[in-house]
Amino acid sequence: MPSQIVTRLPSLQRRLMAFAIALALLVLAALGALLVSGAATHGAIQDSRTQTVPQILERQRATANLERLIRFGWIAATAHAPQDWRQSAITAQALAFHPSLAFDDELRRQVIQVHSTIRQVITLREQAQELRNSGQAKRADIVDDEARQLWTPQESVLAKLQGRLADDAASLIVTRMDRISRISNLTLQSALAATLVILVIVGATAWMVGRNLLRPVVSLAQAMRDTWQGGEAPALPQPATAEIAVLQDAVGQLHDALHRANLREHALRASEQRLASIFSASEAAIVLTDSIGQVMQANDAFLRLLGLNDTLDLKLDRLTHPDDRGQAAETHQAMMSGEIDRHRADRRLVRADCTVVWVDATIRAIRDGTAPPHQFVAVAIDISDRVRAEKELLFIRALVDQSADPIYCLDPLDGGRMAWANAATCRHFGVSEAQMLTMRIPDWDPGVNQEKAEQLMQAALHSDTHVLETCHRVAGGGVIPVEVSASSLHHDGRPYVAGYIRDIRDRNRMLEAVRRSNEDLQQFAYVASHDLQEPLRMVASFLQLLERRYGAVLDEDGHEYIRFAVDGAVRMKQLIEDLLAFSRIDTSGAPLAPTSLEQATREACDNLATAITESGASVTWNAPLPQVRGDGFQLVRLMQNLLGNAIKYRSADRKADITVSAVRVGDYWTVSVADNGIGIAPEYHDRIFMIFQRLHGIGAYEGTGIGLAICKRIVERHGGEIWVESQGNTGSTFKFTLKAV
Amino acid sequence: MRVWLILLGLVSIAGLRPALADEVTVGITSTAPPFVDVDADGRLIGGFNVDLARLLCQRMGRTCSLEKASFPQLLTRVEEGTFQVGFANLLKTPDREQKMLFSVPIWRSTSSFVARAGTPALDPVKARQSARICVVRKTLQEAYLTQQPGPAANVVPVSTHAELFQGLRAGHCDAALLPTVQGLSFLASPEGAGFDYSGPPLQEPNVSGNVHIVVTKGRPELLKQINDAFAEINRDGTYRTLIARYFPFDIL
Repeated sequence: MPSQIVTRLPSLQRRLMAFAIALALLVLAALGALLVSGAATHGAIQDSRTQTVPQILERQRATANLERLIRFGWIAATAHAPQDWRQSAITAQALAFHPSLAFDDELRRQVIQVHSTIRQVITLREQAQELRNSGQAKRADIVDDEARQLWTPQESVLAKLQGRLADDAASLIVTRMDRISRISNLTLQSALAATLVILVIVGATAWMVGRNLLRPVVSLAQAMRDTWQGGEAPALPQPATAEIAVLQDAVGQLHDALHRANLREHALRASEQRLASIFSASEAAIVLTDSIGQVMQANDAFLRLLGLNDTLDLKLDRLTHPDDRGQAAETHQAMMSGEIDRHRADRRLVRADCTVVWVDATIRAIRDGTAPPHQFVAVAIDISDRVRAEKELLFIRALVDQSADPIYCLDPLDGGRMAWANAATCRHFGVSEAQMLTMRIPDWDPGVNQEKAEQLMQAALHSDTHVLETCHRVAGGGVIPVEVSASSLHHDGRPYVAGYIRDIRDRNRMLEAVRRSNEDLQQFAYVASHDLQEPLRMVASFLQLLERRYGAVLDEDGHEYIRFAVDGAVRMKQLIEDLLAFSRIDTSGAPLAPTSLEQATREACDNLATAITESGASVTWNAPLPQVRGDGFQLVRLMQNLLGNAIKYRSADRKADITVSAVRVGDYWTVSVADNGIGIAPEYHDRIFMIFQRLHGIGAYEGTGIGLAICKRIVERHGGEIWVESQGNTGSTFKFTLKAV
Repeated sequence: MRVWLILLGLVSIAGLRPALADEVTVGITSTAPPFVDVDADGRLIGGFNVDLARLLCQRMGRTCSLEKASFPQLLTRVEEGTFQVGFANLLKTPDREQKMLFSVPIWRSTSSFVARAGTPALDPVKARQSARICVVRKTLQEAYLTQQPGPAANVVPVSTHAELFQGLRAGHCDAALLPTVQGLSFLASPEGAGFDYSGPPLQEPNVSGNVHIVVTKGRPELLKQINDAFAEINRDGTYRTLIARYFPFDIL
């Protein structure tokens, strides 16, 4: 509700205040009237008590004393005995001047007049008494009559005074009663007016409260019920007062708050469901325990991790490996004392089958405020593989550290700085590890500047393994030849160049010796085989000449001996030629270059065309065979030897069926030459590739037994391998690998 | 031991205190009838003041000890507190109000001269110049006469109204100034024969007016009880009966 709308609306508080003021004024007026009436009543009562009643009593006493005065006066005037009329006269005198007959001037005046009359009566009685004492009784009686007559009118005077006092008393009573009656009427009227005012106030209050408070509040209550039941924002009537507007605004805010609370509740419920799902479906073992470690709840992963079926009467402490229980107890104590709330550690748990499982355990204490924890929640992740890997890594690290060969790792992003080096590297360069880690390639390789070092590292980063020979300035200051391997290595998102360093001074010396030895051997083989052919030709030629010239004189044995000698010479010549070819594979080979295996196979088949035709063999392949990196002439010889062997060692009861195929494996092609020949027993699979090794007698099959040795030599020169797969009598499959183009 | 005795004494005093507090010593002037009647041994046997004192004590529920005293003695003892209550037909004056507490009026009084019957009525202002006048000591009548001109020897102070009437009869004084009702019994008695009121009562306010009971200054609660008790007997008619027993008319 905008505040300006609220400020424009009339204020219920002001209305109520004005109403309360008016109400208070009316009540005060009513109360004032009642108070006035009450005060008047009280005043009348007080007046009656303090004035009217005393006045009436005063008059009653005066009336009574007047009555006594009449009596005393009459006695004084009429009594025969002197002591009687004298005593009455005295009493009448005392009474006449008593204050009870002096409260009114007229009364006082007339009573004093009566007193004077009594004095006169007494005087006459005294005179009459003196006359009677002097024997003049008749005159005394006359005087007494005179005194009696003098007194008699006074009785009327006193009686009138009594009547006046009675009238005064009655008048006082009537006056007082009239006043009390008026006050009573005023009180009654005030009460009626107050009742009327109260009725009007009650009605006005009911009307005002109903209009300004009850109806809006009922509407608000309905709106709040709607809000509570999740309804839409309630449509409220136009507020009549600012306070109701504020209330409506508050209800709107309450609705929004409830809506948000509902959303939060839904979100919370969804979160709880997700948590429950996570709890149950989590691969991490989650367990909830009480303060003493008694398991209260655990998920399936926990049961699986420990090989348990349930968690009944299960304490976490019993699951902990005995060696870890001390540390676990310390952690528990620290959590109970409030030193820590969370602890993470690698722990060993004992499974149900008594095997040990390593876990990454995180334990969190659940506590209220600063009170000791009343629950613990633990999350355990099986890290047995990681621990095993770490152990293996530590083992490898130990191996690498203890390796006699220097192993290093450079950081190409830091100018080739040594990022890691094993102890052998430090010994190699004769520096400490800390110093080693500050050095770059130019610091130890006098033939490489920083620019070339960058190039070398880029080359290493863009190839699998780069091996080069260079020179290092090593411990002692000398410069020695080394072989350095460099491979790209990515770790933690960063490229590195890693490899080994190998002191090749001995190897170079050996290689040099071998090279010279090979050269000598090749020279020897060439010379020997070339020079050996001439005597053989002479032996064969003269044996043939001897047979032609002296054949007639020789018997059968002689001819046979000559034939044996010639065959031996021929076979020796073949051996020498094969040996010569074998020795020339490495020395007379062409550089390796992309070569068509299809073409090489076709040429080999062409060379073997006669044998294929005569044997009825069949040579097939799925064209085209791949391009490989090789020496074309040697590849033809390789395929020709293998195909020739397949034809030569064909089975007697079937025609040779030879299949050539190639399969790409990584950077190499694996080429297979399969036949259905006589096969090779497994125990001969290695022997057949040795030079001059034959599985059959010389007469059984032609050849010197050097063909497969040549094949092996050619494949190895191409960087490949060759092997045979055969179970015997089911044919053989020769396989070799060649680097793909 | 001494301490225990002191404590025992204190406890005893504390225990006795309510009884002492309920007991009231009432002083009554040894005046003439009808206010006081004494037997031959001088003991109080009745009279208006005696009966009124007993009646009020009964209504207050207090034990009263009535003691006779002359008018001057009564004023002194009420002032010093040895009389807690005094009945002496006292009018209220500012000086007396400084020394004691006054009850509500119990009756109204005037003062009159009493002299030989047949003698000319005394003029109050000139009475001291021409006659020896008996008055009770320390009364307002004595004070009035002292203020009037005349020889000091003409003021004859006596201690009680009985002495005052005796003085009249013996001729020690020519007249007496006393409360009007006080003279009624004397004048009505054979001893008062030949005596009469001399003129009307004095119109001086100092010697006429309301008569009060006095209470010692330190006992306002006792005064309140007396006022309440008097209101009660006045309301139920007991007081009027008492007045009618001793006076020929209503003196209230």
